[in-house]
Amino acid sequence: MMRYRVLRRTMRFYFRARIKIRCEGEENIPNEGPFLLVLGHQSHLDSLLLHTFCLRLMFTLTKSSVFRTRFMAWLAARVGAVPTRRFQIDLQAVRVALRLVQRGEGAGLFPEGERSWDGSLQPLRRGTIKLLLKAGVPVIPCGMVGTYGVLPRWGHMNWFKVGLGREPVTIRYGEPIQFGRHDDRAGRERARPEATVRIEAALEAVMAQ
Amino acid sequence: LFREARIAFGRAQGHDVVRWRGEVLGFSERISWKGRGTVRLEGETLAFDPHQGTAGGGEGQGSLDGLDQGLSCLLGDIRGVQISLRTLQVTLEGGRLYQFEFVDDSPKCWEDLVCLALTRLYARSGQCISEFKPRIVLESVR
Repeated sequence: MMRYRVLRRTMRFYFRARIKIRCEGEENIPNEGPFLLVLGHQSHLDSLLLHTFCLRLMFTLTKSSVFRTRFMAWLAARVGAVPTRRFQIDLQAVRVALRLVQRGEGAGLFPEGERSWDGSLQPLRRGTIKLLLKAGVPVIPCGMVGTYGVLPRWGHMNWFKVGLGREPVTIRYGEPIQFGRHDDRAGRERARPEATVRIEAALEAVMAQ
Repeated sequence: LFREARIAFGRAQGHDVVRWRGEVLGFSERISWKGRGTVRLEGETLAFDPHQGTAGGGEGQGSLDGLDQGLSCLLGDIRGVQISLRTLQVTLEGGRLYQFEFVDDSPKCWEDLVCLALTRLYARSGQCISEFKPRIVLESVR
């Protein structure tokens, strides 16, 4: 965690110089205890900004291709990234996420499963919703307003543009949603449609401009 | 539907374990590049033909590991489709992962095209696809 904290400070310094960051609803992040943060995914910046500016140290489920080089596998694991194989149902990633919340940590999930092409919210993956229902911990919706404009999926970012003309980005946390614990598979399947609608509505609200 | 494009072709072979503080965090697939060739979507078939003399062109592989004659699969055998970085990943029966990196075409375009072909295929049997990744989930049309 020491490396994570050092890197966080460094990244905070850089991002404040590069982007005009504003955080809203930080009081919704609990000081202690487990929680799951669900984010609308618009840009590669989302997870970087979350790891850098969230009040709690976070773990996020990250696509396994990030870990392909030896350096990235070493670094990413030390800053709270958990590899997830997206081409199959990755039970190991589910197990690790559940283990983290059992330990009282916070974990970030991207329920869309990939970045948006046009900045709008995409359909949520049923597996992620079932994980939220299984975990039974507070679910906090989070939106990064403006990251799509800085680094869209189809574009590039000028990493050296600092100072004047910084683009504004707002990190907005919504109020926690409680689904309760659904231990049995049938219960999760029954609760899934309603949970999906609630999370979609909450994400739309925090991602609004 | 018909389209073809030049690609570099890869296949997932094994995985690396990612650990943190002695704990297994997860796994990362190991992609080995098998060569260059042409991928073709035609009717209900997705086919890959290797170019002559490019076997193992990607990362110095000695052979195509049984892919010397190329690969051809029916769309019905596809279990998942998605984009990863600049590549299109196709998962076949048994969890085999193949990866196509396009030389001069768009992976997004190919993803949309393969998804459209799959949608049409399953629509014929009265089913619709509700998810393409991580695996294809079918629902019957009422």
